[in-house]
Amino acid sequence: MLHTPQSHSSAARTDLPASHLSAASNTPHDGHTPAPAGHRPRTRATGRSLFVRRLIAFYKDQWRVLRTAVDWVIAVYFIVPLLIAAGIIYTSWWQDPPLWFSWIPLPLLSLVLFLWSLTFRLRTFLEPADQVFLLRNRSLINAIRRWGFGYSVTVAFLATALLYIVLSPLLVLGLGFEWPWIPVLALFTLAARLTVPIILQLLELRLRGIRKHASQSAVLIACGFLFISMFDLFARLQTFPLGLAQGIVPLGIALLAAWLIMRLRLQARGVFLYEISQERQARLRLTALLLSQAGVKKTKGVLEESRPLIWRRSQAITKKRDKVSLLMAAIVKSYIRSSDQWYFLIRFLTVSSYALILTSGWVTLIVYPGLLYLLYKGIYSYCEMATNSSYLQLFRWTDSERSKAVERAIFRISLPLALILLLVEIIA
Amino acid sequence: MEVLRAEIRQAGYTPDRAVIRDIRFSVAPGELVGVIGPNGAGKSTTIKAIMGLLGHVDGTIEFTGPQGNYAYIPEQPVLYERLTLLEHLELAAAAHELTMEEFQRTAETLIERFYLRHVIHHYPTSFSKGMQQKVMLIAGFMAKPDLYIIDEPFIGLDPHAMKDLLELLQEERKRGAGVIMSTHMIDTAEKICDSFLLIHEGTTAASGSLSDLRERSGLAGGSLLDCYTKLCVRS
Repeated sequence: MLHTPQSHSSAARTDLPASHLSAASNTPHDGHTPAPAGHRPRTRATGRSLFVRRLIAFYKDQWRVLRTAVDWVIAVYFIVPLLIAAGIIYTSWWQDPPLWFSWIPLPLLSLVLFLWSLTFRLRTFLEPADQVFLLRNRSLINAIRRWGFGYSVTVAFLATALLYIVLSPLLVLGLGFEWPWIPVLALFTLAARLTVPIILQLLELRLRGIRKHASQSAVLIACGFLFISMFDLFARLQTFPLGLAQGIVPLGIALLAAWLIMRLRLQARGVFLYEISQERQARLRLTALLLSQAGVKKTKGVLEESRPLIWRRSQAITKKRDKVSLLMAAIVKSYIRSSDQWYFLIRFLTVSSYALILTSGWVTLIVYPGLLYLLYKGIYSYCEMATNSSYLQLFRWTDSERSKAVERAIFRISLPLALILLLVEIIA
Repeated sequence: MEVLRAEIRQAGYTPDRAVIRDIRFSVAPGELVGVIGPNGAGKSTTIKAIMGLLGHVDGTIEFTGPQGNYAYIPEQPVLYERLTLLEHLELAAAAHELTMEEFQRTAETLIERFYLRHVIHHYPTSFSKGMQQKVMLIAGFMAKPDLYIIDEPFIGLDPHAMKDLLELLQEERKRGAGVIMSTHMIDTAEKICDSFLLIHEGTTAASGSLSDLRERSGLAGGSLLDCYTKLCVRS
């Protein structure tokens, strides 16, 4: 039985200097005269200064991670030509719109934009050590959170603006939107980006189990439908003389909704630990992405389910009780129960279905096997990670048992998905 | 007759730097050996060397029990995120090649013993640290091996679970299983261990029974802590 050490708990870290720590914890310095009773020593740390310090530390960390992971000689040879090529292609779109612009229907573009809007990540810049050093100073914590919210909105605004700069040739030349509509669409997308993920988060904070998943799915479907319908409405309003003025009304409502939802989220109670956990994930996002192949484990969220939704009573999924079958069953169960894998599969199936619908003839003969290969690779990497988990390493497994279990698990997981894609292709 | 014979001349993570040196000991059937030492002394490295996890070991490690196997119970619980408690145990049973009847009988008893019946269909990742440690203990004890290697077993366990663990260890020792236990809880170790391996700065500072350590430290009637302080800290 082998064991590989997993995670080492690290000591709580704070970015407060010693003077601030003592003030925050109300403990007098050695050799200093203690403050008289009733007099609270004032801390020099403000929400803004802590936020700025943490923001700088965050970007320094990201820079360090990138520098560790990327060979700069290769990066320069790769990124610079890539940027030049992207610039040339972008300019050529304006001069001579490519034919494929006409193949992209507005509902597909709005669906992609809606899915993109779900990637918004609210930052609070809270740290685990705040539980020890700042918890008693609620106003300081709230100040950091407010700055974090402001930062998140700014980043979302900039990301949306950049996206719309890239998309504007398609919107103007391909889909026929007038220029003044571009900021309207961008602001509407920004409003969705600030609203829908936050509503989902609020539901996550308030509900548990099936109720949570049902309500989140309902919100997702309703908001997605509304978003796509609004884009359709904006496209129609262009033909009206007062179209833009009429379009501003739903935009105003969407922005107001975004403001109210953000306010509600800022005022939410009992979210301190949840926000620390979310912030930790946000900070490690780039690191986790770069090191995912090295088996970096995702941090456990504070609102994780305690019981599975699928196979709630640990039902067996195979009648055989041999090592390979049980290992295969464990991989399949852990895959099917993982929300991350569901998100991956939903995204994959959506994009693949569109790819199959948009292609025809012999191109499909290349696209379909290509999609199956991508699916296989995606599932394979998860299975590999699962069979290399630390728990499994406590026991004796041969390489042959592991690889047989992985093969069977991949077959079981991918077969229904391959059939769905085949069905889509037949219907298309 | 022994279940483990370890003679580590030197071992380390890289060939050019030995972390532990001259560590020799054996574990007899039913014997409980306490591995004691300060932080960074080399206890975990010794355990890794025994389990064959160190790339560079100069020496011999022999599992000489009737089955030639061991179970390792780590200090930090290691668990799947998306498998229930029962599924974790099924997987462990499959790895130990237990029959269905053996698994049901052993797992049932251990689950009852550690009061985990009500959470068998829950994810252990949602448990407290102590409950997760109990899962590790059950997964290890199901195998009924010749030797147990237990790293800091008492951390996170409530008093009741600690008592259950000690009783379980006692039962397993009666069966003939040997135990190597790394711990910082010197008082508990003094009460339950048959012999000790004091590791200091990567090498054996002293080994043997409490009376051997008393004799070596010149502290007749001294406690294990006294002997440890004399032999390790003051050296």
